[in-house]
Amino acid sequence: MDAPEIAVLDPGVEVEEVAASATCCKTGPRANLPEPDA
Amino acid sequence: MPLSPYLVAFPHPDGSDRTAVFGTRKGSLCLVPTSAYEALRRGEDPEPLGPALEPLGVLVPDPEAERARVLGYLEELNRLSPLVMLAVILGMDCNFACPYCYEGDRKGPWALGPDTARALAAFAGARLGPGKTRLRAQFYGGETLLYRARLRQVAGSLQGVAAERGASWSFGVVTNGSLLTPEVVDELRPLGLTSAQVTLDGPPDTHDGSRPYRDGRPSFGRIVENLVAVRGRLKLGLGGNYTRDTWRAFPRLFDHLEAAGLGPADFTQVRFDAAILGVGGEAVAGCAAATEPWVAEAAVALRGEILRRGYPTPRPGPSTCMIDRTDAVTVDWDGRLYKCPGLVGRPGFAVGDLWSGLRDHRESHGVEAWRHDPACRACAYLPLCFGGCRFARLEREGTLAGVDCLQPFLDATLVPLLGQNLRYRYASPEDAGVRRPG
Repeated sequence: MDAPEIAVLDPGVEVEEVAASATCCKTGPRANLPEPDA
Repeated sequence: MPLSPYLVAFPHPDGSDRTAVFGTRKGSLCLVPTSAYEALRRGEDPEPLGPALEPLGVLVPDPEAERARVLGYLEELNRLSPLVMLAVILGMDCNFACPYCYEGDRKGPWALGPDTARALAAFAGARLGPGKTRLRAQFYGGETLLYRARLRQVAGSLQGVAAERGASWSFGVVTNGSLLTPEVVDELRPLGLTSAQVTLDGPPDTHDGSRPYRDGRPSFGRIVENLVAVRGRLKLGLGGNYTRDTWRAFPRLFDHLEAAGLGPADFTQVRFDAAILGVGGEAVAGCAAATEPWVAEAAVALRGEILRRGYPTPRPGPSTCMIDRTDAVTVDWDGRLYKCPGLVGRPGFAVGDLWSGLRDHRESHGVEAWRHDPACRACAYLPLCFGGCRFARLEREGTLAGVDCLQPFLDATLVPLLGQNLRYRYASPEDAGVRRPG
């Protein structure tokens, strides 16, 4: 029997990447403050 | 190998025999044959799936160790972060008269002066050093670009102090877009400008009612002209604030952008947020508004439209708040420091000033309140939420203490949002890396 196929759509982010991203608001900004390049 | 406690799984909406599995600690997403996923849920692993699923945080060697890792996530993040982040209010004057203005009656002829600018540079410089090698500021107001001379001075000072400390430097502006011309961008780029966040509250018929000039003139046309003129010179983020009455009109905004020649490649991020009048009569947005019953419907529908049109928008995933980040702070024009833009100007919520430094805010701001809540510690959403929005808690409950539980909102929205990713982001096989275990 073939092994099941796993489709990895998004590997996600490591804590290092989140730590290096400039954002100051988690799900929604006051004054749209999240960084467009965060 | 067992499943992680931090998973959200749901049948693929295409009806195929696959289960979509979202790992909340990493924001990973994969498709697993449903029979294999059911076997994993029963504690079986007939085909060794660990090599494929462990890197995604879906299978973990030890669920208790995984819990400990998530409970220590913010501590690790602060230890690893190379950033010193400043949100700086340059001044409180504005050329718009938005009826829902977030700054409310704080608007007026007040601006950051030369002494405060010097103190800001000294404050930032003192926080740079080993392990803190990137200085980033986001300027807002008031209308940021009414303060160009001041912005040049402040950005130049911060650029200088970053260079002295061997750190990188860049900044973004939050602007209504009316003054964002190529000349302004070209003047500011040598000082570190890399991005601008502009707001359009839907198509002209809704935007011009909610974001008019102070003399009542419409502003949509000027903003779009400027976006066309500056695109390619800097990263552009597009935001918009919708209400119960306006959100259904927002999709037509994209028709207007496209008629002007703007498209997905011109923006690095598009997102819309709900604006609702809060306790004090000022607007609150986004997470702060998540408990309004119509917001979940609007949030899902508008994000779907953003993706359907091909525009970039944030993915669900782990995220943090300024309150939780040790080297992130909001600086008011007078030099007082706050741990959230929403708290600026509220008596009792300053956490110091540029001259005396930051006070310990952990108790006053309910930092890591989720640690004391068994429901939070057991919640699969914890890495997406970490206690929710403290500002929302303050608006609703009158206190920053305790958690702002996002579970009902995430129950209503997360699977539909992930389903949108499946439909629009990963629609073609080449978008997905198909892996066999072993």
